[in-house]
Amino acid sequence: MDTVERLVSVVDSNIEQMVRMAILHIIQLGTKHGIFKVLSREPTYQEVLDSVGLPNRRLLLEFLNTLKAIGIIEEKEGRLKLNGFSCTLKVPQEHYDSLLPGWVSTLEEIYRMVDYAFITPTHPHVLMDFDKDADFWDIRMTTDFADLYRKTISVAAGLGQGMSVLDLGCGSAAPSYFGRIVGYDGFYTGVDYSSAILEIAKSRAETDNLPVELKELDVRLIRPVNEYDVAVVSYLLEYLKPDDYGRVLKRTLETLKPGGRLIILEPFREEFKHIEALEFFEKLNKDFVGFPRRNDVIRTIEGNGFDVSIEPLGRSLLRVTLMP
Amino acid sequence: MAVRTMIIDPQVLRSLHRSELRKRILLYLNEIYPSATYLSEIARVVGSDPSNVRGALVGLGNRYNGESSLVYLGLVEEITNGGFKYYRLTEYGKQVVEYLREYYRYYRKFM
Repeated sequence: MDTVERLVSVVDSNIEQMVRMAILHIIQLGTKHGIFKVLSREPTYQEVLDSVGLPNRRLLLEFLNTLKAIGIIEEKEGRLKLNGFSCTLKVPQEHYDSLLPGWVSTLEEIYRMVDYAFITPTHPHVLMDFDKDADFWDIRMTTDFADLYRKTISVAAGLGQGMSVLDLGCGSAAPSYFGRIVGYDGFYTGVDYSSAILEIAKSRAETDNLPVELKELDVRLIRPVNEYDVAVVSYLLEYLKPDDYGRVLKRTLETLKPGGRLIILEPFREEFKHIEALEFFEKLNKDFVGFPRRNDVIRTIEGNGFDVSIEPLGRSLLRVTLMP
Repeated sequence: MAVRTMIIDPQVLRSLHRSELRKRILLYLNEIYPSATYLSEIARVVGSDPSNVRGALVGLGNRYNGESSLVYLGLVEEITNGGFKYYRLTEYGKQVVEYLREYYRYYRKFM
């Protein structure tokens, strides 16, 4: 039987590998576009922007900031210098069977999009908008990795038939997944601000005849009226500023029944070294802010004055239980 | 909802959605999957001319670009048996049909 610890550990191994692969692709991009060649001359920011002939200078600047955050370059007296960065790609024996193939192809698509985004952020081959490119997002949300983190959430929450679930930033695949688990004796409410993503979710839930309710709403504006056994926040906080997610988490906790659980699944940034490499690619979505720090999330929840127990599980999950 | 192990370029999905004939051919081959059938039978079922169907399947001069044909994209396989050519949906093609079905409302509304 899969324990939550085992499941989180597999999620973590895969996120770790995503970050490592993203570093390799950052290095590939720097080489392909001649950015490292220019950097070897210890230029200023402006000189890089002028020498590298990429029209989207804002993305190029973002790329340089990513190199700096990872530690590939450093800035000294206004000049950028390659600093002999080295990184070991590890695939530990015990994690070989944990690596899932599904996310690799979707990230490869995103790596390819960067070349087009360097021309213009609105290039038709950049498919990261939640509404315009809901089909691509759905493909991301139906991979084996996405299925794994939904299963992890379900086990961490102790989800079963007859329970009620509030899912913030639900996307297109989770409503059917959780709807099937809670069944007709329970209920599931999914909230997402992308009408296109919800259209796919609705079509899927109707095909499977599942009892799910979907609301098109910005999660920052939620004022839930029902009480829930479980609230789910997964891959959402990276699209919210800390002030906003503080408010969202407060309102979410207010909706929980006594003993209810809030499950937060995010690649917490202090847990994954060089996560900025992965963030560079995620930023092709204009709403992406940055992966949250676990300690900030915990402080935010504690600061809201709820009587809760907070359990960090692995490197990417928080289980918050509202005391009865 | 199945967990997908293969990814298809959404641009390909969108272009398939816009081609009524290609979509009809895929849906018919999905209906008879895993059986294969011959060109004139496909043409009869989808209500189109065999030369148009051939164009959609394998490309035909300038009218149907071979690089966007269903066989070239790996969605349909061409099987030669006893001097006859048959066409069958591939496993990949089957997944594409599932995507097209699930995205039907979304494409109608947003594309």
